[in-house]
Amino acid sequence: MPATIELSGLEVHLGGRKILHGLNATLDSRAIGLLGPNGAGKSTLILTLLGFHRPSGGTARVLGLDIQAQSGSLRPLVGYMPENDAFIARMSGIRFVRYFGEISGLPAAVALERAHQTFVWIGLGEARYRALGTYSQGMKQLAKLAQAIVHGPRLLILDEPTNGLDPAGRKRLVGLIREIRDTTDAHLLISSHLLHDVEETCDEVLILREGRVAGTCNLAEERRANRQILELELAGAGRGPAGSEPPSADAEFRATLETLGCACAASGRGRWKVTLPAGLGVREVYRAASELGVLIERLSHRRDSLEDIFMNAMDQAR
Amino acid sequence: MTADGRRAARAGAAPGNPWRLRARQVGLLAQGEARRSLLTRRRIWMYLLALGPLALMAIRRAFHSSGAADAQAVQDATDVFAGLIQLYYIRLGLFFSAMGVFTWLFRGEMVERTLHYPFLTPLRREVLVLGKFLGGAALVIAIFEIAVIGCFYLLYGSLGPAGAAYMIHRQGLEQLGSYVLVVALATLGYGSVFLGLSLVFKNPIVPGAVFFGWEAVTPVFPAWLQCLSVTFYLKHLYPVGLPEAGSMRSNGFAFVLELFTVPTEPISATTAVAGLLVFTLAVLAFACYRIRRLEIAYVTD
Amino acid sequence: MAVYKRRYDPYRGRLTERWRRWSVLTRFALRELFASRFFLGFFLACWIPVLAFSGYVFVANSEVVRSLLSLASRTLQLRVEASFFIRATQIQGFFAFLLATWAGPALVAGDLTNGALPLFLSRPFRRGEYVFGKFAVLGILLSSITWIPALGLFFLEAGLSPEPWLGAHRWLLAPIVWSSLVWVVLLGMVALAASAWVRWRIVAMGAIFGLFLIPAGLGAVLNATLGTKWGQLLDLTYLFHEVVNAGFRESASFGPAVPLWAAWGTLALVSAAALELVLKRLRAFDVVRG
Repeated sequence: MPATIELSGLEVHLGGRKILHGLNATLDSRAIGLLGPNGAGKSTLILTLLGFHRPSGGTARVLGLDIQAQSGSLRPLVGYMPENDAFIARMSGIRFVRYFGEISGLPAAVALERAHQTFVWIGLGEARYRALGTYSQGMKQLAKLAQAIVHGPRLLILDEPTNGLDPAGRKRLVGLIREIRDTTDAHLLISSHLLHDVEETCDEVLILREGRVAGTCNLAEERRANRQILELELAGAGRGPAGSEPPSADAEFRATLETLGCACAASGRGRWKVTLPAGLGVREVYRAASELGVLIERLSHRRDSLEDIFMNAMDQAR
Repeated sequence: MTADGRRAARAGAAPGNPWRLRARQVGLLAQGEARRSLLTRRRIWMYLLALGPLALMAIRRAFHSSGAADAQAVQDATDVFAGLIQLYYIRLGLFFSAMGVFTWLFRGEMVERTLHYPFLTPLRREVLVLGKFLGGAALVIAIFEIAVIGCFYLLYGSLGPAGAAYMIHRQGLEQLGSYVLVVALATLGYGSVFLGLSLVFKNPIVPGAVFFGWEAVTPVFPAWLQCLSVTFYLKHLYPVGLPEAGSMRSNGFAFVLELFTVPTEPISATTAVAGLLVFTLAVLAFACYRIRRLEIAYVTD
Repeated sequence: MAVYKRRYDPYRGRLTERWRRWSVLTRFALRELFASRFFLGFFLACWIPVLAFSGYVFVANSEVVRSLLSLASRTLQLRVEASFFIRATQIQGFFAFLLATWAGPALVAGDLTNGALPLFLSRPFRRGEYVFGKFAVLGILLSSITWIPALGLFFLEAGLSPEPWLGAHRWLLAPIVWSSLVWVVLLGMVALAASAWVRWRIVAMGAIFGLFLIPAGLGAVLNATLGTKWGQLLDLTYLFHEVVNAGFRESASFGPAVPLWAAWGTLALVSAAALELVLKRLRAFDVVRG
């Protein structure tokens, strides 16, 4: 099974400037997020993968196909939802989606049927005969999604899909993207500024900064790994400033946990971060506390949010 | 426009004689409109239309010997100049420039979705029409007058002493003066028509093309219908008649050119000037009436 | 696959052949054009001269009608020769110009105005196919009022003529087709170029009008001021007429002629330049230099 996206030393020059600086990454998850601040090169990378910009160095493969040498085989497998407005104002919604379905190679009757089905599925069934020029911003985003999926692509590239949407519209669009991810075998590449959207929809992220790879992260693995990190708050918190000597019971508790194989780090005011070894459960932690008479006021699984991962990647790239 | 509109509105906010204020607002709007259109890439085509013949005249002057020009050469130059003004500038260059500039005064703001800015300023819409019209007219008149005067100088200047004598002779100056007047009046006439059309039709190019045809065929219609044509008035101000046939004629337009030279109902020069000004004012009054009822509907095409 | 199921289904069915996908653009554009009653009326009006020419052919070959119209007694000769087809080609060429000016500007501009081009070019669809699909709209429309009805007139005459007309006039078939095709290609390319470069339909229409009228005037000024004939090369209508006359082996009865090769060359150059302009404009994304 080839990787979804494979970048080897990918370089792109535009307007006399180097935009992408030798990107290297192998991304093989079903749903890949593309993160980065403004001007990081996310859209340029997407447009390069689509064949709109010619790489000045290196190569890239999408679904195992070279983006330059095999672009003819790659294009039919891709559905693209651009970031900016992209519609034909005078066309009705249904006609627009059918049109692009036919251009993608669907027979006319199938294109019409799938256009209706897609429109109803995305929730614009009532507005499908209205001209696109009269649609609201949220409706236009959904219509763009409809044209991208009407031909049932194997890779769906979504550039800032939730741009300009209100919270309800955003939730709806994210729900649709998750449904595509969960119910089909389609791959997704989602570029977004909104970490929350990416966190909700993606399994893996590629973080770009100033045209370079700032980091990659497999969110699925991260979620699994982070299940072993606990945050504890012991009764009588605030007994001393961060770094001061803990009371003896607490010290004993810590020593006991370390004997069990845990790594403990006090973050002050009775708060601890405990990393459990494989095979050790929360029950053992409670038992140790009970035996030493230590009262745990709060215990939570702490996982690094995507925001932490993103900020770390930005810091490291600096 | 936004800044001009605001400036004009501020001028209107001052207390005093309303007519003086309106005149000031018109002046500010005209100034803004002329400045906005003067040196933009969008108007390059208009400069090409106006100054193209000037470049040709410069080439002619550079390559033609000016030694032995006689009365016949001066007469030929007069015919060429008549053809240049009456067929090229009035029928094509000025016509299409006016079409471009004056239809764009309001229709352009609709296409660019900025018309609501001037409409939201505390200005009378008639003031807006007049200000924009005068601004557009000033720009077109200035460019084409420069072109006409330049062509006149280069054409006769290339004929040596005979040409120079003709230029400073009363006949030459009268000829130039008439053409300067014709260009100014043609701009006002065409400009008012295109401004009016742009306020009536969503796509003023089609009626503009019909107007182009109308201007060509009116000489064959009755006198009262001829009054509805701009060139009807201009024809009576031309100092020199068009040559019957010859180098100015192009086969593609042979029929149209024949129509251009058909004599119209005779009227005096004063009546022609007054008639064209009345015609312009009538069309502008109609434009003011239309703009009072205009509702902004931005279109996507 | 049904609408009521409200779910997204991948498609793994049959796809249409790639080589004919350009026709989707043509089909949709034609349907959109003919949805306008004004356009339909205008298109039908373009056929009025064809009907008149057909009537002429019929009268020219019908003794009965000629006698009913009292034409037989007159010296008037109704002949269907090369000059007849020249006239038909030129008149229909004028209508083709109007049709291209009306239909052409919206073809590409409509896709460019709201950034729809990336949607085409991200699919298995090349720029060349896009241009061909759009050009085919004008090609079909203009052909249907120029060389196709002219061929109809030719065969009508061949069928009605009591004399063996076809054998002697078979050579007319070639100029009937290609002289109009030259005009169709030129108009189509110029209209597409105007549509691609001028996003506003109003301005694009003005630009097409201007391109055919203003250079002709400038050419006349050039001829008059510099005492040359090469200014005629700026008059595309004249060049078309010259090419048509040469094709039908008729000598031009008007104006200073430019060599035939120059007329052909200019028409080809303008068409090629217009095509190049269209292709240059059709980019999924503009790159801002700096």
